[in-house]
Amino acid sequence: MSVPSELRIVRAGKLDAPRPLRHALDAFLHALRVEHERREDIIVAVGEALSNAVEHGNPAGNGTVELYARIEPSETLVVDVRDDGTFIDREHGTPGRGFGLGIVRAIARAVSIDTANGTLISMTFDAPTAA
Amino acid sequence: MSGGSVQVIRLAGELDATRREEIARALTLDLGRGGVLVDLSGAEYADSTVIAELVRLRRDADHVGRSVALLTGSPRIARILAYAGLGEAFRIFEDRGTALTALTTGTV
Repeated sequence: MSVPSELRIVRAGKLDAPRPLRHALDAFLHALRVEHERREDIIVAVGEALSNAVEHGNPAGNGTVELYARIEPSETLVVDVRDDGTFIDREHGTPGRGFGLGIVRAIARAVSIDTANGTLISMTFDAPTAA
Repeated sequence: MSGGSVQVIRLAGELDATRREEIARALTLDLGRGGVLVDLSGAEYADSTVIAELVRLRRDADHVGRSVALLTGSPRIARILAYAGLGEAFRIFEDRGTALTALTTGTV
């Protein structure tokens, strides 16, 4: 059976959206045979970005949150989290969010934030696979 | 140093922002004077929501001279704390008996 090389899901940007998206990403990483501890860390980092997106990226209540993960050569995983909101004051506006983005930056090899059209947080992870 | 019986707070399952109010309510000091053990051994997922509330609990406990320790079932929580820059902020135990002994004897 072939293993999918990417995962893309768009959901309504409700507060309960991150949990099923985390579960889907976990299943995707499991199928890719990403090492257990690394998988846990990636889920936490992406979970922080997803929580950030639904707490701050959906001011009108009718926006969406998109998760797009794909595996690239050299055991590299890129995960994008996109929402419809602005990025202003996210790191300080909600209890825990400052810790949250710190956790993302500690786990990911690279993080970029593009606010040109909504907010896109793109995270690059080392994703070694189990032997 | 803490004295008296230990307040044990257990949080299990997926601890994320959707449970923020519940987590904040749970991580509140009781009226006792003993140490506080936060049992996260049943946590399947924990994010910065929990980290922020643990920091608040720790600050409140410090104000009244009570100690706080964590009980975990895997290294996951310790790693998240370290990623948040709080690697040395809490004593972490993987054994309940050892944690309770440390809290009741004031060695936390």
